[in-house]
Amino acid sequence: MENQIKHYFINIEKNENEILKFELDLDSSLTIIDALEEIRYKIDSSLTYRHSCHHGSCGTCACIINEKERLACMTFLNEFENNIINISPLKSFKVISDLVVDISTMINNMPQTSYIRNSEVNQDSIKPNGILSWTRFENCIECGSCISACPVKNDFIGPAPLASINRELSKTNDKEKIASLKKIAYNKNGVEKCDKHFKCSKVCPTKVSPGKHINDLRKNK
Amino acid sequence: MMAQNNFHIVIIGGGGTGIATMYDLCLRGFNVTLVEKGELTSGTTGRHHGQLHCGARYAMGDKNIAHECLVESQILRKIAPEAIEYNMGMFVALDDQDMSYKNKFISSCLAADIPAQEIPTALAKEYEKELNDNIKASVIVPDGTIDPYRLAISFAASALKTQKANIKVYSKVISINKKSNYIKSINIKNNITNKVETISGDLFINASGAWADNICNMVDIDLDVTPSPGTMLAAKGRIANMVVSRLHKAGDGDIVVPQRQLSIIGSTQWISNDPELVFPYKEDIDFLKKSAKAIFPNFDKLKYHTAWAAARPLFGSYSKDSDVRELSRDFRAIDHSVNNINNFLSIVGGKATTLRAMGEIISDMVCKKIGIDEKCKTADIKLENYRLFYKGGFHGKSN
Repeated sequence: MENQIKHYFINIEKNENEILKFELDLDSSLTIIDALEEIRYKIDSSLTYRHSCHHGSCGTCACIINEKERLACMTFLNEFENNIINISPLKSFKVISDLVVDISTMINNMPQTSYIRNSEVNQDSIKPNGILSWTRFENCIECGSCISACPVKNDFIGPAPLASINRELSKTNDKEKIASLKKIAYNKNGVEKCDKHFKCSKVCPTKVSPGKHINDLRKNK
Repeated sequence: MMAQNNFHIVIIGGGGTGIATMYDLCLRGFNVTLVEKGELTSGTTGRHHGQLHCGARYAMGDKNIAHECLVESQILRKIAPEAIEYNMGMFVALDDQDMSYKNKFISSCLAADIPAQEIPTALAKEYEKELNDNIKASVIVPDGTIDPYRLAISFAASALKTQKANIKVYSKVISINKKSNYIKSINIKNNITNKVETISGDLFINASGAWADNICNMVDIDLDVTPSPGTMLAAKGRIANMVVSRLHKAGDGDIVVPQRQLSIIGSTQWISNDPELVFPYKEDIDFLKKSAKAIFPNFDKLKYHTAWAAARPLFGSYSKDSDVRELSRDFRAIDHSVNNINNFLSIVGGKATTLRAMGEIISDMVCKKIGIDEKCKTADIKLENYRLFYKGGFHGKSN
């Protein structure tokens, strides 16, 4: 990670008609979220964007950076050789202001699934009293990148909710739960709407591979 | 009708503390408006490395803080199981100095009711195969990993469910309007609507963490809060399941917190005048990698993920002669009637694990102050799933 101060041109495309243009010097080892923080603090205090963890775990800062869905906190300035960075809010969501989107359209489609799974590390080892299996959080951070990148826009519940259903099916033996999850997956706005573009898997920042989960659901119908 | 139904409390700050306070007050029947200048948890809360503290780390320094962490970690495991990877924790001794610390560490933990248990090093290596082969001792404790963002948002979702909470994000306090010894209202700049709004209230709570002194300064009060940032580093891949700490006095680079698909090493610590724009130091990154390698020799084989920094809100003031680690991680609830403002409280300091307790203490203070007998209910009710917060529109609102 080199420390080098460079001059950056950052364009925030609020919508087709309105672009906020900023120019500033930044350490190239910083990230897009650091750059947005610098802009808010030093140039435009009214700039709005979502952020929380700054290490790719919360999923709040997803946006479109030079035409690809990315987490702003995991996108480093030094990968942009021409120093021009265009940032716009995620597609398929209602924009609240600047880069802030309303993720309720995705969340409303998320079934009731557990966020805890078994860890894949060391699972066959002896465990301390009180630990039945090593556990960890699910990979999906519900950032909305896959929904934004998916070319199927009409009446589709989207990649993240389907991935979540397939994960839950692998964890539960509860027949009622399995039936209700399958009902959602095989509804007319579910698996059958997927056109196998695999854009979701390409943009997923935590490698959930929603496209693979949708394929699994298709096979296991 | 209960008196609190007509009582409006305004909370400044949408981090873990402000959110947990909002939830506690809503359950007690108050109407609450929370204002936050950015997104919820965007200041310090979300950037926490994620250790659910059972208190062992603090046992030798302060028995009371340690015990409180134990109680709070047990409550959080009960009310927010979906926001916690509970795999316990391990303190490991790597050298003679660590070993000299061991017995006192264990007895201090036990004195705070923390079930610290020494286990054979061979068993420790069975639990965590990537551990250094040369560990000299190992003690297990009930630590865990939290998702600090989803934990705090579960509190926010639960507050919304009471229908007593109003959350205004991207709303920065620009001035505070006082009349004689009372705050009447605050003016906020709402960066979504681009308008200045005035929010009146009966009582105001400053829960702005590392920014708490800035808020107090608006009404000419100085608050002893020291923003103390630290660098954290994450590597790709889980090197362990348990939270693994060095068995020595709390210091830099002495804890590895596994989380999701990452291994996080924390942390360093310095003093900053300003909690904004804290970025990791390059020297810290090299230091943290080296520290993690001492505990897990293969840590350097993991791919670098990222490094970041966040400003802890330490209660107390810092002088050049003192060690910043000596500043307390305890929290304080302050009634500013001592500063001649009769309806203004601050809650400062603390840490992620104690967010619920901070909400309880400041809400108790509110009830006592206005003569309402309502007990805290937050320890006994399971929190809503964090997703509920986003259902029905932007931050629970249908726009």
